[in-house]
Amino acid sequence: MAKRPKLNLKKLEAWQKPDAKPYVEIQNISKNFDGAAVVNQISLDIYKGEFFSLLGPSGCGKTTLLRILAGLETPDEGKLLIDGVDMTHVPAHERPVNMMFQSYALFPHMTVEQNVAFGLIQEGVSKTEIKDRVHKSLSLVQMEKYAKRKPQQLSGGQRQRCALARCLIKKPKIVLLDEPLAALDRKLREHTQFELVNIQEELGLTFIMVTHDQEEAMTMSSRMGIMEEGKIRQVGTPNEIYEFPNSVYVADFIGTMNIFTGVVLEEAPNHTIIRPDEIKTDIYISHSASVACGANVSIAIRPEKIHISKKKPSGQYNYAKGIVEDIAYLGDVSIYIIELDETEITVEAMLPNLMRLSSPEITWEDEVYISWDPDNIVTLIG
Amino acid sequence: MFSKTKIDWMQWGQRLIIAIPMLWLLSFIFLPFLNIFKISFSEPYAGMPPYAPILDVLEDHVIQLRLSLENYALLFSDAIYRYSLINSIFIAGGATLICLFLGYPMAYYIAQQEERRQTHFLMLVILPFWTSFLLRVYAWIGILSPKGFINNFLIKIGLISDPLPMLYNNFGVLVGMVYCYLPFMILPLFSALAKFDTQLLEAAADLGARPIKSFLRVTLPLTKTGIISGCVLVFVPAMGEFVIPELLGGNKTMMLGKLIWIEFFSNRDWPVASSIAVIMLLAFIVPVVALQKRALK
Repeated sequence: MAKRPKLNLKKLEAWQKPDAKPYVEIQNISKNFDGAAVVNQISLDIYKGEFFSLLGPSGCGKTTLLRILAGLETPDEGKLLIDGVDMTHVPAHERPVNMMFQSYALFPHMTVEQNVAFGLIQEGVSKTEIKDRVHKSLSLVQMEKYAKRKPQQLSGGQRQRCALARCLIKKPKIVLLDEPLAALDRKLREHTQFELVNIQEELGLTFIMVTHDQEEAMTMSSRMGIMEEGKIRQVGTPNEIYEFPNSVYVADFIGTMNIFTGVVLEEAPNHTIIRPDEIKTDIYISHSASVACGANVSIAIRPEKIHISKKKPSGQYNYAKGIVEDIAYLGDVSIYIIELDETEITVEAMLPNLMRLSSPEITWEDEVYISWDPDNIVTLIG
Repeated sequence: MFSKTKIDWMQWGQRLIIAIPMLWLLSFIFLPFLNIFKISFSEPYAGMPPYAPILDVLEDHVIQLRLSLENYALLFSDAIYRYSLINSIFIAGGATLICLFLGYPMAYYIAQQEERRQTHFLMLVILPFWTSFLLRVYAWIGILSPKGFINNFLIKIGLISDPLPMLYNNFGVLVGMVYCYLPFMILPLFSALAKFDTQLLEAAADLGARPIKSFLRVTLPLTKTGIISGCVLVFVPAMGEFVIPELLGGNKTMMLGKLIWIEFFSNRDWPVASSIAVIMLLAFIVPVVALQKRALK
């Protein structure tokens, strides 16, 4: 399981310590392909022992950034330091970094054993040590049984394990994972997520993973960076990014968000009142939005933080009226799509299905009130 | 789905499609070869055909079978045949190796291009086939001869004073062979290299292999089938080549193909010519079948 951010902040995570020295320093790195900036002035610090995810839609430059770390691409600008050593122009085969490719890139003419041993042979390690380490590495991923098989005789999951063993065996300073679970089916993927994190923690290695699957990134990472068009939009723990996104883009990319726009009416150190464009009632937020009165802001509320009831909530803030347009039953939860009276925009709300077989109190075409707590609202500028 | 009769028809159709080339091979390669095989056991004879029949029908319905192993015995006793065989292997083998070393980088380069450019380059590789083979070999005389293009040029720039002997010797034959058979090397190599996943090289580099190591341990073994079929495609026809040694080789440049020609037409010794052909075929079939078995593995 991902390292949950500790609630008691006594034990600080690596990136929280004021004197912590980053293990991987990406400084203003840019990469252009045919004149288009695929990676655009990215700076990022990653610390030892982290499981860092680069998350973004396809084409956002995350894989290119990973390839720059591996040495398979040379950046046009910027500097890359690993453990304090400048690696910007060090060729791939001399870097203390190993990558697990999305296609796994196993050598088809070699057995599992030979694939895993390949890296050590290049280092000139003695035969007995190679044998020993290959065995250890294969048992770590539970592949000893398949040591003599060729890659084409393995299942997708076994290939993935073989690729993992191959990139762990050299004890690299950083392990790079390019969409490591994309080729696996859902059940196996979930299982492997936990296993990968366990292995990472057990070996104390630094993992950097590229993925487009936000759920995967959320479960596995200690921290993650959300990328868009060659830039990093936000870096933080999964919790920070989910609960406190810093932009509409991040809020919308991670999970589902109901986003309204509005104007700040009142701004005080302990609260903010916003007049939304889409709802009649004003929105009351129990913290300062740190923007001037009259400024345009976006307000975002997660579906699971919206209450639905047939009764009108008390108070003058934080509710809206609408009609249940659709209900999607997902097993553990149900998603309600509610069309607001005034503006016909729809809001998504999520309620857990606590009871089996209970006929839901709220059903299609019902008139309902949606409401939310004043401290569950994210204000976003721009 | 298909009815049973339809499946039957399809099977018959498939058999028919295979039957046509099989029939072709049987009547124009296998049967003539049997004839050659038969002739190789007979004795020369002044007349037409210039060999003695193996089967004689004598009186009283007695059939006489006369098999002579003399031709084969001659091949192993007379030095000229051994010399031709060794020279053939030397030249054909040399041409194969040179084609491999020239063809591999070319095929590699072509395989790395985008598809449109690949087609263009492959066109260029096959382009020489559009001109007569004989004409192209003939053209090399003009290039290699003592008063040819290269010698004239080298003398003109003062690099040499006397023309280099490049024609009517093994060198000329080798040049001609490499020139003529290079496409047969490039095409199978290209098809092997086009299938090669270059990401494997990235993986090798990532695991610490220097480029030369990656090539030797990943690219080369994974393009083995292409190398083997390219070598077979060059070596086999080069061994039996007649036109190139005849036009570009000298009197001393003896090769099996030329030897067969001489025995057949100049000496009119069909049995010996046939026995050389049989030996040559056997000498090929064994290694080629062995190589192909390895390649299929």
